[in-house]
Amino acid sequence: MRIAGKRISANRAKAWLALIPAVVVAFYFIWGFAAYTAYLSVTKSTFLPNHEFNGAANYRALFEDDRWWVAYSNMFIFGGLYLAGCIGLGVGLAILIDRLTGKEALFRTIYLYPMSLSLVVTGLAWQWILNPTIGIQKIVREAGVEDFKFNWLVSPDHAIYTIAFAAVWHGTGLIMILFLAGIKSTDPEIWKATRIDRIPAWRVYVSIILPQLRATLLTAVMLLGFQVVRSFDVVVALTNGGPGYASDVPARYVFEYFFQRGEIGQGAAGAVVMVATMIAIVLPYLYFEIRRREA
Amino acid sequence: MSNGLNPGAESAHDNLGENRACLPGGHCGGIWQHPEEVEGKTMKILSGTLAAGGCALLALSVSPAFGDSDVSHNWNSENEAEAMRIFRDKYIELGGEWSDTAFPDSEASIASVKARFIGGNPPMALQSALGGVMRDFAEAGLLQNMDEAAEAGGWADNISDSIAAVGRYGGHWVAAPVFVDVINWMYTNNDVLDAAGVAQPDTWDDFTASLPALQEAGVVPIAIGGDSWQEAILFDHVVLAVGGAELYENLMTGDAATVAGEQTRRVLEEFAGLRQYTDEGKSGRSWNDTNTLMITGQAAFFFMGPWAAGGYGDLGPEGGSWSCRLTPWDASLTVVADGFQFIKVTDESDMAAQVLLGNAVMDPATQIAAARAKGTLPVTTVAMASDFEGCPAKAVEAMAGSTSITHWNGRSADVGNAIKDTASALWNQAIDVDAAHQQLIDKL
Repeated sequence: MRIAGKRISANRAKAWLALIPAVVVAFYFIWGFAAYTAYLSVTKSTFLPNHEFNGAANYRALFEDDRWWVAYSNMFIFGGLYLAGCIGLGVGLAILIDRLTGKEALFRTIYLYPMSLSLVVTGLAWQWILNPTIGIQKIVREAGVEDFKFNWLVSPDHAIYTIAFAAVWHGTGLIMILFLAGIKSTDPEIWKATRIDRIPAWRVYVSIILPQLRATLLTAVMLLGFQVVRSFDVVVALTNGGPGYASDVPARYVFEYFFQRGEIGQGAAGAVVMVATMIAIVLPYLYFEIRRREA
Repeated sequence: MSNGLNPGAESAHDNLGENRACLPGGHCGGIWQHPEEVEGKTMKILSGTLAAGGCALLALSVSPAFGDSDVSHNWNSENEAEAMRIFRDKYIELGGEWSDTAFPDSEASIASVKARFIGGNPPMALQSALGGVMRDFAEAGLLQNMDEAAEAGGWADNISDSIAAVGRYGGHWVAAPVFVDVINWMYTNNDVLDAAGVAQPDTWDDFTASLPALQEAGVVPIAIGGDSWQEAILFDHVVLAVGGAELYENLMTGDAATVAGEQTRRVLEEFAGLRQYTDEGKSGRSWNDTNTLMITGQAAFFFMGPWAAGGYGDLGPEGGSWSCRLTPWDASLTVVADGFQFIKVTDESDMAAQVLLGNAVMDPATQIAAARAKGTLPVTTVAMASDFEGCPAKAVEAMAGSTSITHWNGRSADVGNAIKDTASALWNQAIDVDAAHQQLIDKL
C-alpha cells in the first residue's frame, strides 16, 4: 500500500510539474491581463496606464456614449443572427448531406471551404461583392434592371446584417461538420425501426436524432458564442464599423478607445462590460446543460 | 516622382540602391533602410550586421558615438519616403547612423511608440502631426527636453515664433517642427467640370449651385471616402463657408456662445445637405481610392489635404485638367505642423543621436529640399515661393496674405474626436441636426 501510494503521488507530482508552465502562462497572460484590464477600468488611465483611482467615472462615460450602445446592441443583433444562421443552416446541410449517399465527401468539402479563408479575406471579398458601386447592384443594373437597389452595406440601418451574412457564410461549414458527425454517430438501428413504423424521414430527424445531439449543440453554441464576442476582423474588413459607427461592435470599440483614442480607462470599461455580458449569458446555459446531464 | 513637384529629387534617388562609401565621420552607408523594405527584417539584420562590422573598424577614431536614429514614422507614400530620404542623407552627412520604421498611419506609429516606451525600449523620435498628440505625449512624460541642443543648434533662428512655440511644451523644446501642412485644399477635375458646363466656383453659393448640374451629368459631384477624418475635413470647408476663420477658431476652442449659436447650426445643416451629392460607394473607402475617382474623371470635387496632390501627375500639370485650390470661399488656411517628437531616452549615444537628428531636420536647405519632395511647406522662413511650384507655391503665396488657423488635427485629441464624431454621426445619419448640435455643445 505504501509503495503504491508513493508511486501515485510521484506520478501526480510529475503531472503537476508538467502542467505548471501551462498553468502559469494561462493565468498570467489570460487571467492576469484580464484582471489588469478590470483594474484599469477604474483608474484615470487615458493615454498611458495611470494608477489614480477614478471610481465608476469610466463606466458612466461609457454608458453615456451613444456609440457604445450602438456597438453593444449590434453585438446582440449580430450574435443572434450568427448563431441562428450558422446552426440552422448547418443542421439543414448536415441532414441533406446525410441523405445523400455517395456524394457526401464532395458536398462536405464544398460547404466547409469558406472555413479555410480567414475572416479578413471573407470580409474583403464580401465588401467587394456587396459594394453598390462595384458589386451585385452594379451588375444587376448593367444587366438591365435600372432601378435595382441593394445597398445594405452602405446603409446605416442594414450594414450590421451584411456582417452577420458574411460571418454565417464563413461559419456554417464548421457547424455542418459537427452535426454531420453527430448524426453519423447515432444508432443506425433507429432507421430500421422507424422504417418499419413508416415514420417519415424528417420526423425521425426532428423527433429522434436531433434531440440526441444536445452535446453537439452545446459545442456549437460555445464555439460560435466566443466568435461573436471577439468579432473584430470581419467587421474591420467589411465595413470598418461604418457607415459612421452604425455597424460597430464592442471589440472594435474597445480597440479604438484603447489604442487609437488614448482613452484606456473607458476602453477597459467597455471590455469589462463585454465579458460580463458574455458570462451572464453563458454561465446559466452551461449550468443548465451540465445539471441536465448529471440528472 | 510623378507629381512634378520635386525636380531636384532625382539625384538623391539615384544614390539609393548602392552602398555608400564610408563617410569622413567614420560612418558607413548602406545601413539605412528603404522605408518600403522595413518589413524585410532579415535584410535589416543582415545589412545592420555588415555595416556594424565595417563601422566597428573605423569607430576607434570617432567620438562621440551615436546610437542609430531609430525614427518611427508614417511617411510611406512615394513623396513622403523621398522627403525622409533627404533627411536621412543630411543625418548621415552629419555623422550619424540611420534606421527607421515605417507604419501605415499615424495611429499605428503612435500606438507602437507608446508600447515601446512602456516596454522600456523607446525609439529615438516619432514623426507625427505636432499639437494634440505632442501635448498628450509630453503630459505623460514621454518626451525629452531638447533645450540645450536647440540652443546650440540655433533651431529657432530660421522659424517664426508661432512655429517655435509648436515645438515646445511648457517652454521646453521637445520636438522639431519641419513642415507646415495646409489642409484645406479643394481639388477639382476640370475636364469633368467643363463637360457638365460648370465653371470653377468662387463662392459657397456657386459651389452648391453647381452640384445638381454635376449630378445630372452623371458624375459624382463630391468625392469623399468613409473615414470620419475625411468627413471632418469636408466639414472644415463648410465651417469656413459659414463663418470663416473666426467661427473656426471659436468652434475649436469651444467658445460656448459660438458652439450654441445660429452659425454652428447652419454649418451642420449645410454639411448634412451635401450628403445627397456623394456616391453610395463612399462607405469604407480610403482617401486614395477616393482620389482615384477624381483622377479617372468619375468625380468633380475632392476636399483633401496636400497629400492628395501627388496622385494627379497622370492628368498633366496643375491648372490644366485638374486644379488644386485653397478653400475658394474664404481666405483662411487651416494648418497643422508636422515634425519629429523626441522620445525620452537615457542612453548617452541615443541622446547624441537625437541632437544630431534635430540639427539635421532643422537645417533650412534640407527642410526646403524635403518639403519640395513631399509637396508641402517647410517651417523655415528662408523658403521662398519661387522654391516651389504647383500647389505648394500657391500655399506659400496664400500664407503671406491670409489668416492661418490651427487645424483640429493639431489640437487636443478631445477637440479632434468631438469634431470627427459629430461630423461622422450626422453625415451617416445616425443623428439629426438637432442632436448633432447638442453633441457639439456637450463635447466642445
